[in-house]
Amino acid sequence: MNYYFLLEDEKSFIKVLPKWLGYMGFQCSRVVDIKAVTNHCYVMQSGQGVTRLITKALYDTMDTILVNPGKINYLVIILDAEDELVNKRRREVYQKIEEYQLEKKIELEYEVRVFVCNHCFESWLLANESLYPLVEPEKESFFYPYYAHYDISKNDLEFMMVPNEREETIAKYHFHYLHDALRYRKIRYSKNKPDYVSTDTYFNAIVDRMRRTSHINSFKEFWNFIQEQNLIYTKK
Amino acid sequence: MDKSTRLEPYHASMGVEIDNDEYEWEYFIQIEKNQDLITEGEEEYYFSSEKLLKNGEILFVRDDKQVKVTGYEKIPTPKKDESLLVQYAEDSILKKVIAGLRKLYPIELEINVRIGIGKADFSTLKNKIREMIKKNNNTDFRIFSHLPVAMKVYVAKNYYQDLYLKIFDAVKELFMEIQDIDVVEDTSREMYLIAMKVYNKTLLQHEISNGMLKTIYYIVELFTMSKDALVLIDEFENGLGVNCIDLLSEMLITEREDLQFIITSHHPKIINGIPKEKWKIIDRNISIIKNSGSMQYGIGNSQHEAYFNLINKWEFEGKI
Repeated sequence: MNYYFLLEDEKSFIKVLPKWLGYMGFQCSRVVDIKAVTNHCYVMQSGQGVTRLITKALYDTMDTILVNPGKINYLVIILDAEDELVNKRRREVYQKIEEYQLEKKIELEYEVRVFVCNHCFESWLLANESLYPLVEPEKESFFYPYYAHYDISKNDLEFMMVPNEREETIAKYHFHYLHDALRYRKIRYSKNKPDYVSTDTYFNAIVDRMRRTSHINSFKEFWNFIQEQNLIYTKK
Repeated sequence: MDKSTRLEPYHASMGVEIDNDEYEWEYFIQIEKNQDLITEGEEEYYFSSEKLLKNGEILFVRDDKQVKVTGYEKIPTPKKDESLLVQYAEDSILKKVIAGLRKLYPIELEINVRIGIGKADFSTLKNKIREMIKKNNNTDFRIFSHLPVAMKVYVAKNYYQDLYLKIFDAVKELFMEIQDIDVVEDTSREMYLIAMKVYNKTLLQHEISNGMLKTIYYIVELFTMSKDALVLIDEFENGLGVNCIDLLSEMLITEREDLQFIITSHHPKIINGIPKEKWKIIDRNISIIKNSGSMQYGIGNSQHEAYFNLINKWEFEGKI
């Protein structure tokens, strides 16, 4: 089995996901590009905020798989819901794929899976309960407004909206919440250097939350997919 | 040379063709420790060997045993740390090749876009040009190609209508709102400046945005640069608006086939705009600098845009 992962997130997710796949017991090794794919490999690429993932990079990826027949079994697309509904975003992608197939008159010889982070990668990261301070921060603290707005340790992150006084998208607010929650603990998080959140301890805290609660459903879908893939190898 | 730059001994060679003659210049540079009592131990660079060939025949050669210059029985020992091209620059046999190498001139637009031409200088030049063209109606524009951009615009507009129209059309392609480009006197400053008419209003050089002016300068240079010139542009995208970056790169590679450009850039639009077969990727790992073609570098294994492949490869290798 070989996989082609296409990610929308600018920088952080592509730095973290290969490590997460390792923690999930994913059996394939990452290679630089499709030419290097042999057996049990995956390619992982992202638009890095420069290229439009849907449709430009997606269509180019479909063309790439087409001219390298038999190499890829799954095209896995992971994107952010931003302020849209998960299913709407997912439908849009499938629709674009269908349109392109019709236009190019091609049959897909691989399966496509679309996963939508609700609302962005940072929303998944917020599922680590230890981010939420046990002791209430002082009212003057830069973190207090976040703390007062939403208890991320008790409520589902995917439902966290933007406070009225802030003018930004939900995804941006989730990013800022995470950034400042870590800053409050004197940890620097940036899209470029997401080291702290790529550890197995951090990842396991997210998985633990997913298992204990009905929260972060969008993460659960992705987790389930990887577990199904792992099963294929175990059965072999 | 900047003494803080650490260089390994190196070897370089280059070839130029001037008036159907081929010149090849080759040299080795080595490092030696200074023996001077005060500065002892400092590293000094010197030419351990150097040669210049014209159509395969030696014009000069030097190494640790000899120094020979064609046409001379004996010559005094030249300086070790300076090229013979510099030391014998006035010699008639070298003048042509030096003129050829000087075609490598930097376009320092960042500095120049804000500078006008003094009133007195402008008048002198204007009169000289008028006299030259009066004497010879068929004067080729290329003898003016080294003049400042504003002067070239003046000459083209007044004496070379076809060339001016070419420049103007190219400018219009990027900035539809421009109705005219000219050079006018700014009496308060006693300067001649580039001026353009936009929505029936004349804007002087200092009233035009840096990006727009820079783009216009590139276009003027592109159409007026001397024939067969080699143009080096560092960080091509600096100061250019995103609306004209890709069109301008397209113009550079399509308008003048006689010109050769070496452009450095980090901008996706420029990188995608230049066919990847023409890329040289310069990679530095501490003090080791490598250059490779795009295929050799592994770009082009997919149907994605070249820049997409480049950044994803870097991401895979942990470079970004």
